[in-house]
Amino acid sequence: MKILFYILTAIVLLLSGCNKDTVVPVPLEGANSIMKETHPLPPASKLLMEGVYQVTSGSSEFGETVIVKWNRTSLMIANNNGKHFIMQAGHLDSVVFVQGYWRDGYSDATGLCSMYISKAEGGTTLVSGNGTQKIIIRGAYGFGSGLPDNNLVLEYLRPFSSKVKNSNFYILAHRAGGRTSDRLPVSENSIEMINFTEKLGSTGIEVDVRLSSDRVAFLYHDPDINIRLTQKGPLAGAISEYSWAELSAFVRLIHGEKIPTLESALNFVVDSTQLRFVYLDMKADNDAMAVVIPIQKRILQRAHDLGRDLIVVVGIPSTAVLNDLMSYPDYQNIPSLCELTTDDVRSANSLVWSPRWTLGTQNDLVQQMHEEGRLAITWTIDSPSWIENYINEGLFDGLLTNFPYVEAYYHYIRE
Amino acid sequence: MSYRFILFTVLFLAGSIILAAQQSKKDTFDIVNSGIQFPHHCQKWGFRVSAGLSMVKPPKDLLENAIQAPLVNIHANFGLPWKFSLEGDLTTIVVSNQLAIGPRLSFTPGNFGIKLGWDVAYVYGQLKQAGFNNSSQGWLQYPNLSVGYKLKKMAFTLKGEMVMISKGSTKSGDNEVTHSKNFIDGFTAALYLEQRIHKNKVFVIGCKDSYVKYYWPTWMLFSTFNRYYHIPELYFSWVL
Repeated sequence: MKILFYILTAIVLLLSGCNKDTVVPVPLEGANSIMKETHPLPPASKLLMEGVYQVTSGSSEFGETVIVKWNRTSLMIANNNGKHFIMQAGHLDSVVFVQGYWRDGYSDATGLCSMYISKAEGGTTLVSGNGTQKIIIRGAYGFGSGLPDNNLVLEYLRPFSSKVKNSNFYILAHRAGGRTSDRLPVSENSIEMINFTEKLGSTGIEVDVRLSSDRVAFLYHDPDINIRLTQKGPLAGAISEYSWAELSAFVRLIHGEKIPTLESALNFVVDSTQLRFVYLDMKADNDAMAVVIPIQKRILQRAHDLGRDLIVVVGIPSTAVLNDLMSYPDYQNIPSLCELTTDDVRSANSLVWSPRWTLGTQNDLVQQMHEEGRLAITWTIDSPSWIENYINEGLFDGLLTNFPYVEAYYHYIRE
Repeated sequence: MSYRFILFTVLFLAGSIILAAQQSKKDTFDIVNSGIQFPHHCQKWGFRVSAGLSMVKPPKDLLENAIQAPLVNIHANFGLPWKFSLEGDLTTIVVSNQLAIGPRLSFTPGNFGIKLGWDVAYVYGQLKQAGFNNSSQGWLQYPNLSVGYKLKKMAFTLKGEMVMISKGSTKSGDNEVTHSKNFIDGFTAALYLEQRIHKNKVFVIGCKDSYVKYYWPTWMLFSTFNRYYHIPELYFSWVL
């Protein structure tokens, strides 16, 4: 009888620990990758390569069309339901090689991808930066860390429309790129994520701001130190009760990064990225504006001095934070993003109105905001069908999402 | 009270029960006449009910920091002619509720019990607090098979079921956020231990693992993930 009891106990304990926090493996290029031998493509070639492509082989996995878009460090290929490629590209003579990996943001699927553009199928045009060859990207994709052995062919359909090229639409990534649950290779709200996020198609980010006990502003989402966001360590409990020195010394984010200060994160945005929008989501409720606003001012001044087109707004998620902001001298000249009513937006003279997406497209109110010279950005919208709906039917200047590549697809494919 | 504290409390209680059972004197008690999970044919037109709680550990992907609460469960068994019976199950976490009902066909060769069943369930949830205006509803089906082995005062039952979502939708206000229908959501496996506690009263403890993509108590959180999760559950109930 005792044995049965022990067996039952063992099963219960086993089940209670079943869900391991996994990271989707990101395949790395092989040691023999040809990419090391290639030369970087000039900017004109990258522009020629961008556009809408038809998937003529591999559509069962990746759909009928994809968009191809360069970002600061890599080439992104994205489809309409979360599958996206993060690729490197370079040329040898007139052949362009494209290698990297693909991922499905909604599941754990991933794999290697190796492609090329031959001399006769666009290579010459791309490398010279001019010409009229139709670009065809040929190659293969795999699953997991297996070799790419499934055919994939992308044929150039058209460039991005002038509407897209001339728009100032913001693709905003939640928590700088995605949540821990999105199983990205870097931690949410980290400098490493800010460095990574453009690969996902982001043109702006939302980050969460808290204060330490000695009033240092830093990036972190939850009110407590927990194993969802951090590696196991000596500290536990409310994160705002620890000094910055303690947090810096003893807390490591889930993938081992240090928690960044707000100022270091924003300096990284200015110095090392092409991001155009930063939304500071104020999670701190202990008179944080007095700490955050001077940092915001310094960063905006630096960005201006460097000729950067960058918006940094402090978020107003609640009436308490609104009151905190309005107690600040000259508050109407502080760039802010208000999640409350349009009347509150006017009271604070917020630059951005940001309603919850489930309230609808609210085109009449968005139009009013535009007429008053403000922006409207909705949060946090993750379903591909709703992203499509809001981009095509709504008038928002940007959407906040955990899946920026889906938003990128539906934005760049607009006629 | 933490999940682990409850887990160990229940296990300690179960251990005490088992040890006490070893020392008890002989009597005429038969677990089949008082238990509820062990596969058997409930007396014709007979009715038996249990009330209990399920401690569930949802994956952090689905529930980041929200308050976790136990599911309250009422399970009923109604005897029909021949070897058939009808079983019903009401499970609630206040903001999300499931009512399931379905027929059973039972066989009891020797000390073993085998039960085949098919439940149809309706799920309804509503969350209108903390700025939310979310609702969910859906129809699910649970084909299931239970196999049990009984001792005189104790029974063990292993139950497996398939989770099929016939129709499910979630709404925020009037906007339908997610909609799904007619697919196999996953499987569950559960092990129940029933033990006489006092006179003819029976206590049930069990552990269950749901291996599913979508878990009905969390539908209103609008997860967009297309992944399977293990969702462990610790169950204990009292046969009334």
